[in-house]
Amino acid sequence: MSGGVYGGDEVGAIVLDFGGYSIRAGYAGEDTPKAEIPSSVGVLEEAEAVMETDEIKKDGGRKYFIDTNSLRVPRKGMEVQAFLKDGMIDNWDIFESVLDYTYKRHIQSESQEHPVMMSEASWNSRAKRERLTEIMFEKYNVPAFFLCKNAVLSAFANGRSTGLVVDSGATYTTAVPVYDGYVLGQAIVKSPLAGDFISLECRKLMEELNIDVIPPYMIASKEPVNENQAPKWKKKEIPEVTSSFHNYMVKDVLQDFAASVLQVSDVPYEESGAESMPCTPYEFPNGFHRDFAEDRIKIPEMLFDPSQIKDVPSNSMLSVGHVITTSVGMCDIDIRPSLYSSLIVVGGNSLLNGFSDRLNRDLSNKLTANMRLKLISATGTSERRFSTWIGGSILASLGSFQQMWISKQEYDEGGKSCVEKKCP
Amino acid sequence: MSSGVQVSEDAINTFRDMKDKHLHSYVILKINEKGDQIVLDEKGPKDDETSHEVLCRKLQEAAENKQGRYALFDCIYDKNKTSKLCLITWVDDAMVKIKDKMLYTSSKKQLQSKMEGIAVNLQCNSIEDLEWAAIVSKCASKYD
Repeated sequence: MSGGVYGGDEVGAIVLDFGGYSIRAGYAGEDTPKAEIPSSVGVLEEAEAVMETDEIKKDGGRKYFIDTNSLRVPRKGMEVQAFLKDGMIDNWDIFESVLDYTYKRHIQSESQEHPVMMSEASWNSRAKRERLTEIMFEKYNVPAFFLCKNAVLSAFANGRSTGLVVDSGATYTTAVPVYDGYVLGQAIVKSPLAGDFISLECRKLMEELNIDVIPPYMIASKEPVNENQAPKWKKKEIPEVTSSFHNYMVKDVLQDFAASVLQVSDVPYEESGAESMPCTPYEFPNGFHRDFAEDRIKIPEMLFDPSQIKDVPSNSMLSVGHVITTSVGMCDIDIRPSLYSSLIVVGGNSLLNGFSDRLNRDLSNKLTANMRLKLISATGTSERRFSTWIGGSILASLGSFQQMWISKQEYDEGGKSCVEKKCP
Repeated sequence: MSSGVQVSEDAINTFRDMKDKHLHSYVILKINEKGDQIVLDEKGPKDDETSHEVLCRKLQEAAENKQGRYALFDCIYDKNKTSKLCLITWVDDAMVKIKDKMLYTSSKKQLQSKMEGIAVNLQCNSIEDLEWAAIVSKCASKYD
């Protein structure tokens, strides 16, 4: 047993899960994360004497605005920037600021008192893992640390040590094969047809329909209008904002639109069948509202049939079904049946209405009859969105897990490369 | 990645009895209440016609109590009486809570490392996975 710093089951570990849309943070052993912080932060270069609040981080004339409440305040010259790229931490400066903020605001405790369990993208590079380990031990002085591939956590949380984890999140839809608790790295397949793509297509649709999407921050007041009537609203007095801020806020409206209006069709889309779709009304923040009919299914259809995407050559993108078959195809032939019989569907974008049903249908058509197919997805919204975090939370709270952590002592003796050995 | 849960001596000894002397047709293991050790739950009689049926019933009972189990099963799968030793990880999809799912799947590796000579690894998450045909097809497959 290494370290042995803490006795009993109460280790008070902190669990952090990073995603393209948000970061989940909380104490191990709890059912849901304490905080969900956007993965985008507001950056203001060369800030002058603005009012200091505890949400503003200062760093050589640069200020960061972290978390929903401060990020969404319109400020002159504030750019919105994400610090994850390709699912991996890219901007370490922002990363540290976000971590500082999380400790201060949500954890409300000192970092040296709590072990930290962190999730990482299954394709994270060795250099980044080592750098992260270094920062956690050197800067934050954590007593113990563990890094865990998010696909493995999702698979375990769904009762499987072998399976294919299909994660349709904000930036990517990925298929990650997990065999006996290990990620098969060479067979990971990623496709950008995911949540952000849906938002982008929604935006194109609004442009086509000549609907001006006005985010709530611009609106001072509005009056009710009839369906399809021009909205009556008054603009707020606000400073001149950057386009990245405006786009972020527009995207937020479109995400709500996607979640409430879009519907994945059960069968491949045909123009004629779509007309009989029931309409769904949607009211935009400025009071404009109208019914949406065939567009409800046209947009999510692109996830399953990329040939529907305009201005992109039809064969350059992988549909969700294709991502899965490609990934499984790269695995050894004898484990393929185990992967297809344990397809674990996670991620916020998979919560689109009808997503799992359609995926099941598409795959059944592609596979031979003797291949058993089983899709597993958590029924609850929070379990699906937070499956990785919940898995980490359970694992880190186990008394027996104490011996698995990288302890401070081990780090001091072995250096940052011990992460490769302890957290494969 | 493993949970660090250990395997009790008792469980390992019973496994040896089963493997070397064929004393039991099945053995059921569970994680103790404290959650730090895999212990013996039940051992079945010597080779018996009904052992598969009994095993399934017992595992189903465990699932109804919202618990997972591990089972060792000596599967005689063809007329030449060829047998293979199977390790079943039993976590029912619908009935077992997420904590037990995590606990049982993440502790499996430790169990495997203590029990050398297991021919077939079965991951069972629903009653269909436990069916005789499903187990036999895995045993008879030339892979793994």
